[in-house]
This record gives sequence, structure tokens and C-alpha cells, in this order.
Amino acid sequence: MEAIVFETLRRIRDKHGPSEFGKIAQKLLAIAFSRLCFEVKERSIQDVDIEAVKDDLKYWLEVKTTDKDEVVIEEKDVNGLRQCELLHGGVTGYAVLKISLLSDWIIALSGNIKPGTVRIGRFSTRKILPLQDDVNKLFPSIVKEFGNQVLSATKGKAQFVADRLLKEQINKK
Amino acid sequence: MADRWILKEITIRGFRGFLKPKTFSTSEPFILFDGPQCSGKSSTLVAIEWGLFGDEITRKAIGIDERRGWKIRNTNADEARVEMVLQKGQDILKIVRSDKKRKGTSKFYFELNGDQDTDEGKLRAAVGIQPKDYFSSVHLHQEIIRGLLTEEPRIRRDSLDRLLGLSELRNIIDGIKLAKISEILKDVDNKFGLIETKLNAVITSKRNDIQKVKETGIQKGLTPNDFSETGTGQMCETVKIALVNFANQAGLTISDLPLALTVDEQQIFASSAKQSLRKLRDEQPDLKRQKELLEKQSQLQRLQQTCKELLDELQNLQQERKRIHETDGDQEKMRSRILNELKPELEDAKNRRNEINKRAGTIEEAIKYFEAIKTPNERQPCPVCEKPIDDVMHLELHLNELRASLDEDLVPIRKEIEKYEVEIKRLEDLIKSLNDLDKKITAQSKVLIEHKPITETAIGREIKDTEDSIVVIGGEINKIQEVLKKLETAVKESNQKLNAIEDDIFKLEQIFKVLVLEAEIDDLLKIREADEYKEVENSKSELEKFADDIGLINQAVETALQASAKAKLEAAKENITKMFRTLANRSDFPDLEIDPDSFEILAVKASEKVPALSIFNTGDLNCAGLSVFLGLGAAQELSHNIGFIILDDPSQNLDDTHKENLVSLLNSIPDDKQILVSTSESGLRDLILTKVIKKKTRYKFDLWSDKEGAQPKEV
Repeated sequence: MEAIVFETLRRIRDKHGPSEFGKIAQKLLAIAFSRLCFEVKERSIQDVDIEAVKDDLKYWLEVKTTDKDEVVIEEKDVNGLRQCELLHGGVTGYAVLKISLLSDWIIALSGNIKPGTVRIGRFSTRKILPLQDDVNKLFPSIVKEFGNQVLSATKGKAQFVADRLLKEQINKK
Repeated sequence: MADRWILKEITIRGFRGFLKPKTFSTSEPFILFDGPQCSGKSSTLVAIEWGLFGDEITRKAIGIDERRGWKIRNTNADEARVEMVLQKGQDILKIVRSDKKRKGTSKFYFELNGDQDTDEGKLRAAVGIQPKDYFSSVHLHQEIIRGLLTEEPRIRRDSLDRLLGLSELRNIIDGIKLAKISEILKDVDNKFGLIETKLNAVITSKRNDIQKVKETGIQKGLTPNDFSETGTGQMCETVKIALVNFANQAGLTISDLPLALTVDEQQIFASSAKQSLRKLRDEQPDLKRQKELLEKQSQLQRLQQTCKELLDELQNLQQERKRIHETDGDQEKMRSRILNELKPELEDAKNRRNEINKRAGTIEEAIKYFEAIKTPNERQPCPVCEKPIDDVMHLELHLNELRASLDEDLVPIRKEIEKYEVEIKRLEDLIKSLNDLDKKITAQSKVLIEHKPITETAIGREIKDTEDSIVVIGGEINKIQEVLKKLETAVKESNQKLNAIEDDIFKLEQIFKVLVLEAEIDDLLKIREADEYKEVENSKSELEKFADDIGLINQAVETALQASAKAKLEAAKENITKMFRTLANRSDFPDLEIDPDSFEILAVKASEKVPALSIFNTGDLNCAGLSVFLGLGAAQELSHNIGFIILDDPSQNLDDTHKENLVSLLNSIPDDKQILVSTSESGLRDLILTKVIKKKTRYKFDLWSDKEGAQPKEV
């Protein structure tokens, strides 16, 4: 990712902590999907992080962020995605972001990913193209546009700011 | 016995325990090899394996540790050779295997109904079995039984794997584990992490530089938002207009400034603008005039100073001469005084002194004389009267008194002489000084006269004799200073304008420095677009894909292993239980089961299942091993075409009852199975001979001899 994007994300993470950062990243990613003309719903059913629909395309995504080389996939993540696939069809996957200069979003199919600690590299063999490329082209501009607003929010309130930004983006459409 | 191959005959030569050729006729359904330990029984059974599978039976993959480093050929033989004849219905299969190539024949070949072939694969297709399965369902080796008796789960699992013919699958899983793929991937991640750490270090350093530049820029009046490409173009335009306006106002020209649309162009613009600014600063008219006037002022000040110094020097000389004139008059007056007054006085005084000096001289001589004769023994007569002198000392005393009296007269005369001499000397010196002063005054006056035109040139007009040069020059200096005062304000105003332009250029440069550093940071991250990086990243992706595939293979193999184990155990379950009941005959836990998931051998009593190892003794465990083997061997679902089973020394750890049960079990094996048993125990031998109802051929092995090798005899 661009240095300025990395720097902004790192500062958001440092200020608001890893847990809130995960939720903020999820909102910013959802804005990216919205700008890619997807209809975006958050935690609509089965408690899956993002539901994105465009024409015949339907994605169910669990969002994971980290600053390490691995993320923890929980039983509920796997079950939630499986349930979505069984009940509603579409593509299930993980959106994984490592806060790193040499990383971007990995949007990967969930197939054969089991609960536990999973190396990020495993996701890269399942990337969903061109969706992943589209997201990564757009995401930096979203961070540049909204990063300062999220950063200026007081601790614990940033995800609400990000949520408002997402709602504004959805309402624009 | 028509569906599967049974062994009809085997000839062994030079193979392990065998030296000389020995043919065993094995047409009967039960073949017994008995004899003491190390007599060649196992060599006979292993020769069948070698005939079927060749050297593969000695390899590690076969899973029998004691075969590592095996020698096939007897050390005294020149060839190891096995010839076998198998029959299935009307089909005859002849197999010949040697460790030595004979002329015109290959080391291995087989003939199926007379058609010869050397393809090992085809032979395996014909017999329908691989070495691993051979050990699980044809040849029960003691190592497998021993493996079942251990509490070490891995060894027990391996033994069951071999018994179930699953070793190859298990080896794949173990091999994948040993490859430590996840550790390699973590290592790769760490190496990528190192690249990022280095990048971070460089970027942090550049960020610090950016911070410093921004601080400098902010001190100069920039705001944090100014450090962007937006606005730099406008700032360039402002600088350009200011430079052109200044040049026009000052009547100067500057070279055309380049376009400043992109950041690169703007940087070039800033450099050109700096040059133009320097030119304007150097060439601005007021400054030029100021410089000229300052130089003029400096020149006049120097002239004024020189003039003043020359005049002062002349005045000093004149003052000195005047002072001498006032005290002693001029040179003429002084010469007259010397000649007419002082010199005659001096001459007179000298004459008086000389007169006294003459008398004094005589007295002096007399004193010297008396001093010379004052010794009493050298009395001399008076030098005048020649009469004896009685009291020399007395005369000397008088003489000294006389001399003192003359000295008193001389002192004032001497002082008088000295006074005249000093005065004459002083006057002569003064005359000389006055002469020098006259010369110097003349020379100094000349220099002053010569300096006048220089001054006149400098001030640009004639200086009248009535005018004071120094004052005239001072007046000119004052005029210049007045002009300079006016110019100073103009120059200050010009410089303020130029300084403002210079500040703007400096600000531009600070913004460019930040933009360049930020571009350098972005360039660093373009490492991801470099071919080399992409190549490494692709390799990593390939590795990830490979690891993923291996994971899938592992998963598939595990599934296959479980499924195969379940299928085999399910197929043989009834036989295993039946055989265990017969063989072990335990009342507490009569049945035996193998958990296909955990590979645990379980002792079963109704619905109760406990690990066999926790309650079985070694005999029971041996019975368990035999039951599993015979159960699997007897299962009809097995896919191979071998119609015989081989039990090598099966009664180890079995008591007499178990041995009897074993014989009963052997009797229960279907008639279509040929059974080959070797034993060193006479108890089992006798039981087989007396209680096995199948037709038998017995080969009794005598003690092995180094010269003869194995010595079996058909009994």
C-alpha cells in the first residue's frame, strides 16, 4: 500500500487499538464496495461482516485485520459463512488486511480454511480476482479521504464516525 | 484354490542361508518347515518374497527394520537364484530371479503360460499385490506382531498400518509432517518481514527529514497544507511576476523563466528564478550607485587622511626648526658664537691647565722615584745633591701634599674646559639638525605639492592655494554621505522586495524537498512493481499454492487412509473376532476390535471396550496380531490374487493352549488358502502334524552348515 495510506492506517490503529481498528477497516472496506457499485449490508444475517451484492454477484465476507503474518479464524466465522452459502448462495470469503507497507487487502475464497490460526499466505492462493484488485485500487483514496476524520475521533468513537461515513456513502447512492 | 495363485514349487540357490540348489515341492495345501533356529526356514520363506518382488523387500520403505543392510547372496555362492512355479487353475506362472546376469538371459523374467516377460509391473499385475499388502495379508512377519506388543502408540500404529497395508499412505502423511512446510512458510514470511523492516527504517529516516524541512518551512510562514503539489504552480507564477516587475522597474533584463506546470518543471523554475534573483540583486542601479559612492567616499577619506598626515608632518618639522631658532638662533648665529666666543675661551682654559700640568708632572716623577726607593736597604743619594737621604718617607709626604694642592687648582679649569667643549658640541649638533630639518621641510613641501593634483582629480576641481585641502575633501565626503543616506532607503526598499521573492523561492524549495522525499518514499514502495520483487512474490505464491496443494493431498491421504482402514477392518471384522475367540479364548473380554480412527486394539465384552494393551498379556497380544493377520488374510474382499499365507514362527509367546487354539484356527482357514508355516517349536510342529487336517508336506531343516548351507529334507 502507499506509504501515506500505511501511515494513516497505522496511526488509526495506534490511536484506537486493534479491536476498534478492525471495525473501522471493515467500514472503510464497505465504503469501497459501495463505490464499486455493490449494495452493501453489514452483519445482515448470520453475523457475517459484509454482504455485498451487485447484479448476479453476491459476496459474504468476514473481515480480518492484523499486523502479523497470520489471523485467527474462529468457528463462528467458518459456520457463519457456510450457513450463508447454504441458505443464500453466493461466494463466501475472507477480506484480510495486514497493516504493512508491502501488503494490500486480500479478498479470498473461504473454501477449505478451517478454524484456527491461519497464515495470511494461505489466503493469497484463494484470491478473488478481479474483485481484490478493484478494492485495492479504490481503498487508498478512501483512506486519504476519510482517514483524518477517523483519526480525529475520540477513542472509542471512531467506529461510529466510520459507520456514519459508510451510511452517508450508502445514502448518496 | 482355483481363484488365486498357490505355490507349486520353489528352487533356491545361493540365496541367504542357501548355498547349494534345493527344490521344494509345495503342491499340498499345508507346508510345514520345522527345525532349530537359524537353520534356513526364514530364508526359504523370504526367498518367495524375493522371487516375487526382488530387492524391494530389503528397502526401508518396506517397513521391516531388521532387513536393512541385508545381503541377498550367500557369501560362499557365486549367484543368488530363486525359481518359483505358481498355479491358478490352469494357469502356470514361472518366476526366475537371479542377482547375476547370465549370457543370453535377463536377471529376472517370468513366464505366464509359456509367455516370457521381464516387466516387474506386469508380474505384480498378474499376482495382484504390492509388497506392502503382501506383508499385511500374505506373509506375517514377527516384527509386525512385536510392534503390536509395544505401548508406544506410534510403533503400534505403524504395525497396524503394515497389517492393514496402509504404511505407504501413512508414510506420505509422515513425510509431509517431516517436510515442516509450515515452518518453511513462516521463514519465508519472516524474510519478507525483513524487507519490510528495512524499508520502514529508510522511510522513517526520510519522514524525519520531511519533518525537519516542514518545520523550517513553517518558520518561514508556510502552513502544513502548503506542502502539496496544489499551489506550488501559483507560487511559481507569483515569483515570476515579482521578478519581472522588479526588473522592469529597475530597468534591468532577466532571462526568460521556464514553464512551471509539473513538479519537475517547477524545480527547474526555482533554480532559474534563483539565478535571476542573484542577477537583479547584483545589478540593481541604486545598489550599484551606492557601491560607487561608498568606494568614492572611501577613496576621499583615504586622500583626506594622507593629506592630513603630510601636513601634520610638515608642521611638526617647522615647529621644531622654530623652537631651535628661538633658543639658539639660526646656523649662522651659532657658528659665530662658536668661533668668536667659545673656542677662544676653551683655548685659554687649556693653556692654564697645561701650565699646572707641567709642574704636576715633575712632582709625579719624584713621587714615583721615592716610591721606588722607599725600601730601607736601598738607600739612594738625593738625585739633585747627591747627598744621602735620611728620611725618604718624609719627602714623599711633602710631595703628595704638593700634588694635592695642584689637583685642587686643576679641577675648576677642567670643568671649564668641559663646559666649553659640551656647548660647542651642542651647537654643532643643532646646526646639523637644522640643516636636516631644512632638507626635510623642503622635501615634505614638495610631497604636499605633488599630492594636490591627486586630490583635485579625486574631487574633480582645482584647489586654490587659499583653500584648506582637508576641509575641501571633507566637504566632498559630506556631500557623498548625504547622497548615500538617500540611496540607503531606496536600496533597503529594493532589497526588501528581493528578499520577499527570495523567501518565496526558499518556501518553494522546502515544498519541493518534501514532495521529492515523499516521492522517494513512494518510489521505495514501487519495489513491489519491480520485476525481481514480482518474481520473488510469484515464487512465494507458488510456494503457498504448493503448500496448499500438499495440505489437500495430506487431507486426501488421511481420508483415504481412514476409509481404507475402515473398509479393510469392516471386511475382516467378523473373521478377526472369530479367530480371536478361537485363539485367545478369553472369558472376560472374548472379542477383539480395532478402532479405525485411533488404531487402538480394543478388547471387547458386550458393549464394553477397553484398550487391549491395558489388560492383555503378551500371549493374548500375539493372539490378537495373529487374529488380525489371519482375519485380513481370510477376508474375501481382499483384492490380490495370492492364494497362500505364510506364518513365520507364529507361536512366539503362546502357551500350549494357545498353540492348540492356533492349530484349530489353521483348520478353520478355508480350503482355498494354502498355508506355509515355519516353526522352531516342537510343540507346535507336533500339533500341526497330528491335528491339522489339511494334507501336508513337511520339510525338516537340520543345523545350518557353512559348507553346505541350509539342509532341508522332505520328511
